Amino acid sequence: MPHLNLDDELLQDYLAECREHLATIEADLLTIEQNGEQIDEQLVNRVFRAAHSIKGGAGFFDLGIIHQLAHRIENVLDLIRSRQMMPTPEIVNTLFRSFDKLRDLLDHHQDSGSADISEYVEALTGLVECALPLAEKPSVKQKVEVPLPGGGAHIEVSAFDMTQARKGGKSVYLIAYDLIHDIQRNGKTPLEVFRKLDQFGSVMEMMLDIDSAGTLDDEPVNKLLLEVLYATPLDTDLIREVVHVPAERIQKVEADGSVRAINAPRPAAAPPAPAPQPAPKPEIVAAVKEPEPKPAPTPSPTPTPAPVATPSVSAPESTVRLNVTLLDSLMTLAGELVLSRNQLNESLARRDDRAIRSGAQRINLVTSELQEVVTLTRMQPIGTLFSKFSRLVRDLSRNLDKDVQLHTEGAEVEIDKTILEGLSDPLTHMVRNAVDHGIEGRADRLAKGKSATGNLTLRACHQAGQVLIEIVDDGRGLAVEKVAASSLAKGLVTREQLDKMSDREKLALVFLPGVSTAEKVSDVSGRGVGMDVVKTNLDKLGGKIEIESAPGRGASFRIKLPLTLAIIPSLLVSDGGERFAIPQVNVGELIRIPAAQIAQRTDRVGDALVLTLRDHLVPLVHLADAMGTARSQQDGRPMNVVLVNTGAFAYGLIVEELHDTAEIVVKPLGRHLKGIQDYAGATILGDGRVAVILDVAGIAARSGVSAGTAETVATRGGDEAVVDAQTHSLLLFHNAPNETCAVPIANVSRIERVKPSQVETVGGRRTMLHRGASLRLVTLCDVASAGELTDSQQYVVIVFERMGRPIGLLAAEPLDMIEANLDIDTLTLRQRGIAGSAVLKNQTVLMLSIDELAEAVCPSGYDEAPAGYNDEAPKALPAMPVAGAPTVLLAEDSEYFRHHVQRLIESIGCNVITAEDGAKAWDLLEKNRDHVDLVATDIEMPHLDGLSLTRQIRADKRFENLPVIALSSLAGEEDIARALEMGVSEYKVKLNEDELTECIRTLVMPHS
Amino acid sequence: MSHTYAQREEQTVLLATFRVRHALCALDAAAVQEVIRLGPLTPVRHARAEVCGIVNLRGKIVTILDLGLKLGFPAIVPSANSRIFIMEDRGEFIGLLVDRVDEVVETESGDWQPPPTNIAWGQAQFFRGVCRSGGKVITILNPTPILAEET
Repeated sequence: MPHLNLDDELLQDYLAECREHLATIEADLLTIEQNGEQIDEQLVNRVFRAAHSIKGGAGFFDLGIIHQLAHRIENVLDLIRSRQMMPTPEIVNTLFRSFDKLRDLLDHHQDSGSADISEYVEALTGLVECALPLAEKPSVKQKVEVPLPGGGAHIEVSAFDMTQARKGGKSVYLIAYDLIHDIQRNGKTPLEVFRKLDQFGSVMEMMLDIDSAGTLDDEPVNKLLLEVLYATPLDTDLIREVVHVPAERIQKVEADGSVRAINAPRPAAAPPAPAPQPAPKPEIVAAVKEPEPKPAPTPSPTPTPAPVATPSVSAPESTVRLNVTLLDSLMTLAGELVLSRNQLNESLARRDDRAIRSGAQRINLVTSELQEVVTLTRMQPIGTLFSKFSRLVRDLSRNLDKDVQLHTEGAEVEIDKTILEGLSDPLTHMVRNAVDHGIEGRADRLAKGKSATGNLTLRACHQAGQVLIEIVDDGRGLAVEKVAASSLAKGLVTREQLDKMSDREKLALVFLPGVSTAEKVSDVSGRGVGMDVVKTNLDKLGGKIEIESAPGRGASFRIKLPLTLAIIPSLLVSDGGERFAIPQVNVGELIRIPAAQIAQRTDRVGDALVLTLRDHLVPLVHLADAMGTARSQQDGRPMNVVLVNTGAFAYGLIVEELHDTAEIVVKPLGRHLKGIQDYAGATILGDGRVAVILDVAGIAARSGVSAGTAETVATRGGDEAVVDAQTHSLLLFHNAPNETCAVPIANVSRIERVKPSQVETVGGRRTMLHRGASLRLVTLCDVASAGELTDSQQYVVIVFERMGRPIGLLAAEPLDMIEANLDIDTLTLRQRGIAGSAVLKNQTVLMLSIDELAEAVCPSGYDEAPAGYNDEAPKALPAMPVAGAPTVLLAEDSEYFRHHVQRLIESIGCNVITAEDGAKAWDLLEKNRDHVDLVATDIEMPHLDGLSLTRQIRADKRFENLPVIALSSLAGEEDIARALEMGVSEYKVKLNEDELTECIRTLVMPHS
Repeated sequence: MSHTYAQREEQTVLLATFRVRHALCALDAAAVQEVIRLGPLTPVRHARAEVCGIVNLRGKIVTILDLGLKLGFPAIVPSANSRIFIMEDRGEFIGLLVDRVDEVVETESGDWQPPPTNIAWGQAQFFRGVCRSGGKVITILNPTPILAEET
């Protein structure tokens, strides 16, 4: 151990640990308060230990004020622990305030020496005094001096501490450790020594006896004494076993501070060792960072107390704790990367194409994995944030004289550090809102037949690669009409717009600036600022928020957040030869207006160019104008509009070209470019060039588009010219050479590579042996007029499950998988077996219809089901719709899915009526009320969404028993629960075709 | 301390010299991270005039400043000779675009002379001094104010 250098790192470790302790304290204190007289010793002990370890560390780092405050807190907790004090709300309040101060002192530890804590010390001392019997009261302020053997110096403790320490038959000893001989020479560290001491008692105070080292004039004594005041139930015989110092350096301390050598005879027998006090666990000492012993070999002339290294200004979150296994896997991956690079370099030198390809592939793999692991290192449990709110809720509800119980679920869900930090403010705001005007006062609640205590739940869970956070209260709910009225009064919406809005759309108005539902402005909330800020903050994090409210029963806010911000999906566009990235969260839809329609669909209002979209006027901004570059020649070319959403409003950005969507790595811009509102950062594209990431709100501001001029545009609808911006996950393959086809990946069960010779033609039908059974094969040219496969191609068989049995589509390589926003044209190339076409990278791709292909090859659905496949097969006969067959009303806004599901339902012999949105569906249902046997509805639709439609149906006596199936592209448990609550009979995922048809069959065709 | 160093005669400074228009300028070679060719620049609209764009330098986004404009000359016309001096300042890499690189010369800091007094007031802060080498006058630049974002 070189010298006594408590370096900065050690101090930072201590501070980090203090912060961790403080983070858990609040929740524990709250529980202590709630338990009241039922004192949970373990819990109190935990808080006590936290205070104790903060105190201990502060002693080492010479942070006197922190030490003093922590010590007073410890005193109070000790009394609670020993049931000499009841944790009343007042006491807990004082503790809260003191811990707050402690946190504040730790945050500014370099200035803590001059901080004034008398207010806290007095309050805490007062508490201790009150709790003591009259005779003991003065002890709190009395001091006891324990003289050190060398004479002169003494250790000072309060009489109260001394009494407490000696309670329960414990004894107090003064032990003089020689840092040189007892500790360093024995190969121990002070840390180990203190850990051991804390197992059997507690260290009350310690002091380095500088005088013991002597002065330059004395003979070198070669020792450095650390005097430790130690309280323990061990008796004089046992203490030596524990402390391992010569007996003459252990002295017993009496209540008045006088000391007596332990080997001296004593009048009375030592008190029997009572039940040991709950031994503080070693972690206390672990928090106290190991102090390096004094420089030893030669006595230094003037040993000074531990100099505290000048600490740098501590940035609270500049370090993170990492699991070592994560670091190890990072290291392994880095090694892999190096190996792959070497392999690649070598293959490049040899110009071995195959090896280069495999090297590139390996790097590809390692990179993805590396990315994943690095992302993990930034993950932190959301519980650290949730725990903040227990205190907030407690304080607020006390202020407002309400009873509110906070529940948290999913505290272990991990989320990116940056997002976690950004989430703090919006969540705080929503929690405040919920407590202030969500949850009613006691009397109100009782009058409504609710429990007096309101419940507020914070819940986090993973859902479909995102994090879902819910803030649910059981209060009065958000009054839709009040939100609407407030927005109307503020002129943010017109009456006509309101009339067209669904309840959910109306609730979303609360996110516009200035809208409030609070009747009176309070300290806590209701000033009409807030929800818009919440929304803006969440938008920055790439999050989405939804509100649901059941008047009288409560409200729930659902926030969906990406797991990380460092890598985001983006749409790439270009203008004037420059490429730009637009974060996908801002992209609403892509619109391509054919050249011939531009004049008809766009108008000028004053200076402003606007687009008419589903009866709304959308302001248009030329990206070139916003960037100050020359507009490209648009004549004769279609106009590409990216409908972007700033969170508060939407507008159209006219760009020259639309490219792919890609996952991009967000990089910050240099300091010369800070403050330019148009950019959110930059990214490096596949070719190594840089593209800037656009900030759509900034561009709007520059172009003079604002919430006032932009109307909220209803989301995606059935407008023909609108590109269906839904993301499709597609498997691409070839039919005849140069004929690219695609099927939704969700439909594919397996892909197998086969040789042409494996394909047999039996009885005019193509089959192959597959897993011990004969698999029916179909090619596109069997069904549609399309090219034939040639023998020179590499065949693959794409296996689908239809009606519980497999069918193979014979196709050819190359295979590819893509996620793309595609405009599916369902007219031009439509024919049996081909659902439509789309353009992808300047190539026409045929979208195949699995249903029609399957139907074409085995119309009966049964005829050749091989053994083993048909056991569970549903009894289904695909049939043409006939009179008297059940009728299904299908509401679905996506044209592609509408046709797809329609065909699917028709294939089981039902008639289908289709509607593009909920409102149209309702009209159709009213008109055909006697014929419709079942309603299948999409969830997310413009005008009237699926859930509102269901509610409307359920509310109507005529349709009480009409089965309703909710269709969605996603199925989280939450969604299902929500849908079922609305009265939906079944909830099905669109792409799970078999399950869907089976469900419809059960509901409307019980006879089959 | 630095004051005494500056006065010592034996302090040898390597200067990386380059041309900005016709002026022969130099930066302390020790302060230059590397010199790269002018590759494809991504322009950043609405930025200050002297920012000529951003480039990808091994995964870092580096802002490139036009040294000509910064020093009060006309903008640098990109050519095959254009080079970028990559400097590190306050933890960030920043590039300075120059017309062409010249040699690296060894100078004694004691031989440096203060910049001429007839330099425009606004520009004086960019110059540390002048020195002669091989019959040419070299203007030695002070990187800190040049790389500062405020003008």
